[in-house]
Amino acid sequence: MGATASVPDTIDVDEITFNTGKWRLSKRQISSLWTRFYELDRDGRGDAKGYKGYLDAVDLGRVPKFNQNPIAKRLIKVIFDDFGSNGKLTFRQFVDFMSTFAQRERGSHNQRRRSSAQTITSTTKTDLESIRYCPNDTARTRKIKFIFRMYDVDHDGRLSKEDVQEILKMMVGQISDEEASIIAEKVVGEFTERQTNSTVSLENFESTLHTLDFNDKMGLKLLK
Amino acid sequence: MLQVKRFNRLYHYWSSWSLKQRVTFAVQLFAILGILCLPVISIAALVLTLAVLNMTLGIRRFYVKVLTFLFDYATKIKKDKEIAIEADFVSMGPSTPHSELHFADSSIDSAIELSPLDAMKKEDDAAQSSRISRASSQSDIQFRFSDILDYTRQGLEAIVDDEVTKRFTSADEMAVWNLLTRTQQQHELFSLRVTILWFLGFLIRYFILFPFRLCLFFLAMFWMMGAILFLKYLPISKGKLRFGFYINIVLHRILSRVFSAIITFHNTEHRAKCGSICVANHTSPIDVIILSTDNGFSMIGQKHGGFFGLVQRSLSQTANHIWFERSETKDRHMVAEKMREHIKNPTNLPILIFPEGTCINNTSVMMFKKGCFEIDEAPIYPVAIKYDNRFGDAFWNSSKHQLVQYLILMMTSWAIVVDVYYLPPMRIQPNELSTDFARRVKAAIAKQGGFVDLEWDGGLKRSLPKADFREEEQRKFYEMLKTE
Repeated sequence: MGATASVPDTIDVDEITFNTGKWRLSKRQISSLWTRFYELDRDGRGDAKGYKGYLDAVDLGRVPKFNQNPIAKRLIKVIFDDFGSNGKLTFRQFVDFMSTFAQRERGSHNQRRRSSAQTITSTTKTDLESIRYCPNDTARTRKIKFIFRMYDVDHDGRLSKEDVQEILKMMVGQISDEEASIIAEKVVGEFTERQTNSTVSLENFESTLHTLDFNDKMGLKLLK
Repeated sequence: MLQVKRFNRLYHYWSSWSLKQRVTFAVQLFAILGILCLPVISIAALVLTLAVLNMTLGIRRFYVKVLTFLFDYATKIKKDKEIAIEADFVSMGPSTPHSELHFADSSIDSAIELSPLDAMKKEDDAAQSSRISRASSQSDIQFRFSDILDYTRQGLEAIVDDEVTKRFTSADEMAVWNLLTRTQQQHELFSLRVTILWFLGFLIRYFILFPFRLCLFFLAMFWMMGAILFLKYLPISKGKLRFGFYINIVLHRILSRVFSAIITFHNTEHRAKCGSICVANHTSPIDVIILSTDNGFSMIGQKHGGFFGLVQRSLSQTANHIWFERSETKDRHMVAEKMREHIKNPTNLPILIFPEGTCINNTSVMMFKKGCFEIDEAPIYPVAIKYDNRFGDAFWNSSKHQLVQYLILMMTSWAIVVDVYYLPPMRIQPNELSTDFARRVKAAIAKQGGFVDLEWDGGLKRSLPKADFREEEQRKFYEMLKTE
């Protein structure tokens, strides 16, 4: 009646550890993630016997704490668009996704100091390109891009008033279009110096979060 | 042709013997069989005697001590090996200044705690207040970009780990490995000594312990059949119920030996009395057996057909149980009525109920269904059942194993070590709702057993959570926006 088997041989743990690159997770963390993946993966009837080999939106929705989160649907969409394929999340993709958010452990102080000095310098990239994930992004950059994409509902690389409106409606549920529109305008306006009908780019967004210790706030403990 | 000839010859031989010779031969045959079976018969007699007299030879406790020593030894070997391998692994990879190298010492397990959200929120407020400081003239709702951060983080945290999902699978890996490959997550048998130990353990468990336990199981069945026959032909009298009570207890004591259960009862002065209701947390079907070794209970449940129905009917000979037709179970009122009737009779045994409704993995207690707490004529005797996972995991994951599979797994574990805590009786207070009373009892059980007290419904094992919770969160968020 074990919690799980150990990570099955079909999944090469060493390969995964190598390929998550700079954010390499330890073997223990990957095992811990595997336990979680196995727990969440169930077939249509909710039985643990039906191991599909991937996670879908229903699996995530089964977690009560996740399901009651107001932006659960948006979070699912972004996760599956960014990291999954065809609405499915394999274990490799799951690890890839989680490695973005794994908390840095000891020895990370230097890294934090260094990365906070970095800002996203967009040179000649278009907006859409700038929000895509690059292999040489730092952890911080990746997290910022993820949050930006959470807000960017119409996926055009800029945060417009409509985007913020959509998010607000999702988070509050019962709110009138008018009220949402007013708040959204105000919020966007703060970042574009009151120019009407303008939008927020990734750089602007990043600068608002500059003062926060972003890594800490968005770092998750992966070992149980 | 040859066989028939041989048989004819034997027959002729046999008929040529005199009576005396035949009798001598038969006696000799039985004597030899008897001597061969002597160990089995004597052990069976021994177990029966011990069960009846409620004594124990202390063999099981000694056995458990030996096992503990063995497990510690095996874990030590494993840890030493693990450190060696982690060190290799770490030195193999490319060294980059940004990668966090894990040093394989015990501090790996103590991951650095996340800073509490409140502290971050304060910083956040201070930083942001300079930006969005003016209260709008049109509405006084403040919304910041970073609001979504908290919810995102909570959402991600829920994906990684949440309080409910992990209660429906067996508990996490233990510090000490108990030589059962079914439990360990990383049991790569890279040490020869550990492999040998595990293999020996496997042989002992499957080829020595299991057949022995199976024999005990048959002994229990014989006992039950004999007892049922005995009771059937006994005239109904007061004595019959007393007999039934003791027969029940002896039966369950034998059954507990089938699983090599080592049970420690605490606070036996609070044992449930006749005319009361006993509630306990539910981890496995074996709970019933364990509780019944010390006290007789009336079961309550649905009438089944087939083999289980037969079991139900035979159990009904020993005591008054409450069995329902399938159609009646939906009618809560009728159930409560039957229970009340049962309680009124002072010779009836206490009713045993598991209010969680499903098996939970013994790390937490989930929501108690309020049905049995509405009956205010009877006191409630709570019981906390705590299993020690080191010798065998008793949790029945019904979506993973069938019942028979589960029982076989139980019979091939090392042992089931259990602590049963009787708690003082509780009664519903005059102005208390049954849901509050249920919560109070649950909290008492959780506290005694060291369980996490959760308000979630055990039914979430199978069904999806309801949408109401999300609406509640949305409303809360809106309120929060308004008050800022």
